[in-house]
Amino acid sequence: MDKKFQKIAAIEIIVVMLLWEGLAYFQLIPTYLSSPTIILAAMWDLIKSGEIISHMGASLYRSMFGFVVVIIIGVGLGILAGYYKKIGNFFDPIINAINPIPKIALLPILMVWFGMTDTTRILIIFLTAFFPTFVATRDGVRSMKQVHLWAAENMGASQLQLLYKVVFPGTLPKIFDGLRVSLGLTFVMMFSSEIIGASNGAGLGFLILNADLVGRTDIMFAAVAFIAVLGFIFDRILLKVRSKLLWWDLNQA
Amino acid sequence: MLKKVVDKVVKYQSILVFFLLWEIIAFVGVLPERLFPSLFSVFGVLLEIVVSAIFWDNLSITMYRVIVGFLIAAALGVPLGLMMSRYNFLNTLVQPMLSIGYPIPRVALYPILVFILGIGSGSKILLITLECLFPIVISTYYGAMRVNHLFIWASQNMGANDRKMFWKVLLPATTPAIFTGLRMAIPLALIIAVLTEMISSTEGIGYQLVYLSSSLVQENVLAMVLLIGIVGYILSSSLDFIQNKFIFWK
Repeated sequence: MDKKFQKIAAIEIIVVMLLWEGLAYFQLIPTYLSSPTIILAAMWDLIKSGEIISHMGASLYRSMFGFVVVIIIGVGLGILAGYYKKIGNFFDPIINAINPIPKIALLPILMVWFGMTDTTRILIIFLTAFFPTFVATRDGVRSMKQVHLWAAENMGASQLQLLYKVVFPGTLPKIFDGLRVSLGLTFVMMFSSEIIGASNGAGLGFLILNADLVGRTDIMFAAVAFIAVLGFIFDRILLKVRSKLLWWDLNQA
Repeated sequence: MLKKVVDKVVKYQSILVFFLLWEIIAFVGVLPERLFPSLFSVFGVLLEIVVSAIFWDNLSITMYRVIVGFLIAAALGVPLGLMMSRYNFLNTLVQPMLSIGYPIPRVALYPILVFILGIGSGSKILLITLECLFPIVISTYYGAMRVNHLFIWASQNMGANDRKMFWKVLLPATTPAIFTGLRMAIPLALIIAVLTEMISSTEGIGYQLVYLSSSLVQENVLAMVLLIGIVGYILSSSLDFIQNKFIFWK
């Protein structure tokens, strides 16, 4: 099944690329839409000159820093809020109030508070990606089977053991669902926080912005392709980790 | 009566604590007032913005983009998801595209869309549609796949033709899942609208936010953020309202 899927996906991508290449070759689309070969050449140039490494490094540093903080704080707080009713009741209203705000709107405020630095970018990435993980973890803990908890308590598990050995593994499928959404948002925010504001420093968003300013659409497409590849690879890594950790969970994504 | 008030206060204590902490920090003056204004002055500015015509002009433009983009995504996504669940061929064709496209940050395409469609509403609506399409298609598809086979068999047994089965059985049984997808999509639509307006636009609430923030007066910016949050809240709850009308049996 999976092999067949991959084959079809590969064929579809190739067909789209050929179509695009053909349209560009016969000049049926405007030249600013570039063509796959030109984009690949631009990508190769970026790789060869080593320019891409600094951009990608800077972008990945920001997004992964934010994502790791989300894993630690989001999952930790989510478990506490789900397990202890008091903590959950305390946090629920404020979470519900902040959740619907598009967090990107906070970017101008953070920029004034922390300057146009990595702190601002990592903070906005964290703020955006925190909520899906937190909410998924909290709801996951709340929907745990009470029988499992009783059984563990009956066998003399301490409070800490209960959290670590029963609640955490039991919620893991839900946690990964939340993390997957968060990971996607991490990359979206990485791009957005780099493209809003001044165009200095390194990062894939800056690369796009600078290419935009000089009208080099081939570099823009190349940078978009790099972002797409990164997003895809990290999603696959997350799914791999998930299937390693959750070998007992039949319902695999 | 008094007990009710006390209960409300206890329930929303975290918001009160947050409010108090904010006011204390603002009052003590650890940070300069320009950077960390009291929430009372923020509310004052909020009222000023709400009564201004500029805000309503910008809001209507943003809402136009959000709603048109969202409706196009729903009009394309729901039938696609339903058809994917019925026709295997379509499913094998579309499913790989979905699983490849899902983890890719589609927002990155925005600067290119601006090149193609210009800086106006077109590029924003297209990006909103693109972003909303994924949750809608995916949850419609899985919802339709999970429709109880007994219902379908029963209706076929009682002589329902394809069209009747679709309208009377498949669609109603999938409605809850469709609404799950729509509920995921509507905040996304607003986020993308604000984001794209912040990146490049000459109108819309995202533009107004950037415009206000360039004055470096934090009261204005915070008031605008609160307003955007309220808009998001209203959008989500109006969808909930529609959902409760449609799915009366739940």
